[in-house]
Amino acid sequence: MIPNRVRYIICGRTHVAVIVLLMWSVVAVADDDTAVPPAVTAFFRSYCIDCHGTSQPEGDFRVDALRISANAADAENWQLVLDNLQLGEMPPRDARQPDAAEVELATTWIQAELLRAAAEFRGTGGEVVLRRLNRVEYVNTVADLFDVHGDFAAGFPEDLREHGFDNNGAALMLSSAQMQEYLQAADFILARAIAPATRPETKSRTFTLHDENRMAIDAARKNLATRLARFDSLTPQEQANTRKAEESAAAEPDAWGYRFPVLENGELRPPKPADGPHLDAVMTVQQYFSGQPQSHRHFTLSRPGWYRIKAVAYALRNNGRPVRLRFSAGRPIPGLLPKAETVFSFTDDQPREVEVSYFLEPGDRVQFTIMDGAPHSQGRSMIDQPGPFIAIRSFSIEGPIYDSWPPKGHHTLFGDIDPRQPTPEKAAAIAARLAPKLFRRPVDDITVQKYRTLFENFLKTMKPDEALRGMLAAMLVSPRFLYHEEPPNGPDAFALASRMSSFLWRSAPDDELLTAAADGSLLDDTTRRLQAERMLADRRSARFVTDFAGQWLRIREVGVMKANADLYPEYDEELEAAMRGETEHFIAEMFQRDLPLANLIDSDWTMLNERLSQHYGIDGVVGPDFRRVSLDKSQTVRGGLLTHASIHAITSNGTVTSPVARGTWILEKLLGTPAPPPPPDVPSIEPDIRGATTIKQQLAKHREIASCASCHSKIDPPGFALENFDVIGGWRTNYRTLVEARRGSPAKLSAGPPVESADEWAGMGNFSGFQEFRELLKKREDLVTQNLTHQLATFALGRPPGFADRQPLRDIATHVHEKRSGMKSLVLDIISSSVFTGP
Amino acid sequence: MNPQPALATRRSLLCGAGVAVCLPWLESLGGIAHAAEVGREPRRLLLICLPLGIYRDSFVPKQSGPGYELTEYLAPLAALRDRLTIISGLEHPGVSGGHAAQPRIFTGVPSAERNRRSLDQYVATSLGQHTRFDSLALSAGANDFGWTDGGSMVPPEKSVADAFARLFTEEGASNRTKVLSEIGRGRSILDHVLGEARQMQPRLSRRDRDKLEEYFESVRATEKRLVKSEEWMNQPKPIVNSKPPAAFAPDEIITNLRGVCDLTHLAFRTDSTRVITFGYFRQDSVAVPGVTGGYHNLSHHGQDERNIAQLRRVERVFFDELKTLLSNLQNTREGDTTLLDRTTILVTSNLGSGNSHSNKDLPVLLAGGRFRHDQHLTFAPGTVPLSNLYVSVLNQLGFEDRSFGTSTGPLQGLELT
Repeated sequence: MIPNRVRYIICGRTHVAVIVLLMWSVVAVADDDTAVPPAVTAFFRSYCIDCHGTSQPEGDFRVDALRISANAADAENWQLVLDNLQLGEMPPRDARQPDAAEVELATTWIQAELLRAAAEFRGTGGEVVLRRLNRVEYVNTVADLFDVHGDFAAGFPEDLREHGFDNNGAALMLSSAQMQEYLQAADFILARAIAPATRPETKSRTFTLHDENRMAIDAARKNLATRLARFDSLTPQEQANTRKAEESAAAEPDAWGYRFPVLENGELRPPKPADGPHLDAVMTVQQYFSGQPQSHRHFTLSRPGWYRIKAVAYALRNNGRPVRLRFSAGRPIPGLLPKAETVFSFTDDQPREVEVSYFLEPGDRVQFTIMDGAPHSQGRSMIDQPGPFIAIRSFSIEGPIYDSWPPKGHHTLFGDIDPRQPTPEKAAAIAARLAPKLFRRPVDDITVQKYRTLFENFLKTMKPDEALRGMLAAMLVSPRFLYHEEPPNGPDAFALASRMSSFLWRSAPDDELLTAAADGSLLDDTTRRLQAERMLADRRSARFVTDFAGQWLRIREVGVMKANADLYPEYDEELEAAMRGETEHFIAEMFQRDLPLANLIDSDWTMLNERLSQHYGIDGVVGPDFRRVSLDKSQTVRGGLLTHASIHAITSNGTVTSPVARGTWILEKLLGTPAPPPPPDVPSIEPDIRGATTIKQQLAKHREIASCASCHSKIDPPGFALENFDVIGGWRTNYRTLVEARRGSPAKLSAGPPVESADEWAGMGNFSGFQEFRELLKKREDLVTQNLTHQLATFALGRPPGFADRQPLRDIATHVHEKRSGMKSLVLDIISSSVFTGP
Repeated sequence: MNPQPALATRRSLLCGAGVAVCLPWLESLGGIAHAAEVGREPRRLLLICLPLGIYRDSFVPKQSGPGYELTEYLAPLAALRDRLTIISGLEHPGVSGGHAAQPRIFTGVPSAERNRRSLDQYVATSLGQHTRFDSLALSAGANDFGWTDGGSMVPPEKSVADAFARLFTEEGASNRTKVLSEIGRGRSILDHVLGEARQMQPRLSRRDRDKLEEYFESVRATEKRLVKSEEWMNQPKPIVNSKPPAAFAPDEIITNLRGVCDLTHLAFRTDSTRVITFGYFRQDSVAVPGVTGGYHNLSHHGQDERNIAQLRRVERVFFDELKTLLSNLQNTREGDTTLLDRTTILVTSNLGSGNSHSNKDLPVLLAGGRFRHDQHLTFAPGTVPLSNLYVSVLNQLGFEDRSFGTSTGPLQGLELT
């Protein structure tokens, strides 16, 4: 057979790879091939060939040159033809239109041919490429195996995202920089995991705001003394302030400089030196100039480990409203986010103990902040604050806490073997025990013997325990640890175990999964399904939900672009976290209850906490925790992903919204029908917020340009449908603008031009605004389901589904759609399907 | 094994009255080993990117050719104008996507393809042979600019203080033994895992075997690095009487930039490396007097003059520090010339406009090296790839390459002295 000569042209217009084949094609040579029915040929001749023929094809896309079953790339292009016909986007509206029966005839033929081709291509395309653990998987694996936490992976080169996810085997590169990082990380992990000879003492310390007060008072005195000592060198203003401070200090010799008033007999008063734990003291403002109460002033954190932090507290002067106390842990570096954070809410004056467990390292501190009430003292005394307050009976910190001794990591490494004074035999026994866990499959004797030899080599120049560490470090940079090894013909049971654990836990398989691999039962579809159900019920599956939702919907990016503080003064970190929280909890709820996927488009419930419900104007939600809230659809527009503030935020730049970005998001993330990237010769829009032109006017100009129109008539309308949602997801009818009353005076917010959100969605119909658009979107639940199936499969396999996977995935999507089941069913169906066990 | 670096015959030639004046920390010149004068004249490359763009009206001169009028940002560089060239109208063909173009700024690889081979990493393979470090990726807020041939990003130094220590802090004698033994241990580990990878090969599909090649290459490259650091362990580190830079604090963009610029100068002066990259960036608030908005937000100024005024403050900081760096390089003599003459500095951005996120008509400032400077070179936007400039830079550095990335040749109008 003469090999096909295939030429790919990456064209500027549509980036469609066009295949020019020097063979028969569906149109040109149809006469001598009986495989193509004459009616189909006639259809393409009548409706397609004028534009997509040989001379200057539109979008550089030639229908006459396509040949089904020639290769996978051809099939992809036929899929494009099919999509366009089914969506009614082709032929273009200004051209002669085929009737429904004609379209049906053509699409049925294409579908049948694609099926036939799929069978032919099976196994030759879309295979999983040797996957390296990405950073998330590496960190989770280390946490699960060794209970080791820290920033040991912070210097790993970033994992590239391809096809929307950062676990794509082909895109996960390795470099010498990364190899050096692995070497360093191995030493860090071992240093943390191997237990010292004696169990470190668990220390605990209880402290109160009285202790904080004494320190603050001492510090204020010292500061005053310093200022007085160099009084002559101060500026007149500083001198005046110093004199004032001197007077206040004299008037209040015991308490001057204190931060927390003391509660006695229901009254607040300044502290006295004799005050102690018998009286509670009160946090009255959010920010203290000399810092919030912090653990490091009372407790020296000398070992990395788990620490338990508690507070006994209650609400005061809060009129029944909840008052929140935040614990945040981390290093005190400006601009650095805390590594852990928890918010507790108090509603009454009954003292209540709250506690958290954090993994802390030397240099970390825990800080306590009251999140409501006045932001800072605002020139008033600490007693004269408006409230609400939180009274503190005590804080305490305890650690490091070990659930077992030796701790988990030590046990994973050595089991019951005592690693002290290791001999070659001992080293071999340790390697033999550890290797199957680290490499996620059994190892043979030769492998173990080689590790023993490595140990013996190290022994020539090192102490025995150093030699053992060297051997263990080698195991942690072994290709068998860093890559998911799979046999050439497709995954065996162990490879399936790794696929499942990296999909659902983003980590290594546990013992039960490895056992199911060892006895081969994991090869059975039903067992796999049962195991997957078990895994989804485990708390580790939360990582999957967060990671998948974060990447699929891009909500990881919430907060990357902060809202402009002048235009959106109500935006803060709390709202930002709540935005992400709604979508994460929403997807988690969808998973756990396997709710129908129609909820993604519209739902009569959502996940809210108090901050976000205020933002949405929904009453009755109290407290910082997210919970499911029923929505009164006659009162609120909310419901479905497109009403989530997180989505509005990531498709804005912090100052203005972009219908193009939003339309692209809907096409790509929800419908799975991405538009091609813009042609190279078209200028971008220069955003102009001075109020002269609206985005509608600017984009209308855009759509007048013919080369833009073909795509932007698809992209812009769904984007405009969301135009009533502002940069932070609030509902608006007018744009916000900043107006200076006089030149130079502070700008004030005011209502700008009205928002226009009506448009026409090609092939779907007109809509007057968001709600009507959402109704239209409900008609395309099939696309949403198919897309989600595709996204889940991409994430599950670390590669985009190949051509051969299309039909099985479509079957899964159809099945779930018909049964009105949801994301959990999708995941289970994928795991028990041939797609998941393919090479 | 690599040939022993030519260090034995090193002697310090650093001299010149200007040095002490402009380098307050440089109290003692004794003991600075310097490879610079051995063999070929050293050539260096510094690549800087401002990922949020450079506000055009304050940067790009209105007139082209020589004798252009200095703009707001260029005004501080007035004394250096004969050592720099402004270039406008260049772009990377096929590179789009706003911020997504950032990692491609020094590779020029079109967005449809997987990113690989940046200019700095490419030249480092040979310029780095005679220095302790092949290249240095520093960061005043960003650096995802370095890419290996294999398509992996070169991570930047986590902290400029650590980088300083690696360059200049001598290991104690006992520590030295420890580091040497660690290097030996590392090599044994790599030997072992290489063997394991070889055993793995026959168990894999062809496609997976191809992918595993990355592992082999990475291990071999790491071994080479270990060999190199072992050799350099026997060479004393250069002595500099300067304080280590302050720890990186996200908000402190001026301090961060200054730390990076000082280290750049120090690293070049001591010939610790000849290739450096860094980025000037901050997503959120910046500690710059008079600036309340986040830097990224300000770059989306929407033509609002208040935003633009603040944005200009943040960007002026960069050009003020650039002036100090260029002056320091000019005032440091090396052999019979200055460091500036032996260093090519290229400042650019992946955004032609921060406001529109356009990746076209990118701003470029080229300084130092042996180029014939003092002009504003203009090209019709969309006609000439930025990589043409990279070819010219390569040629000037002594590389004979005729192409790089999507180049169509060297940059017309840019000549050597």
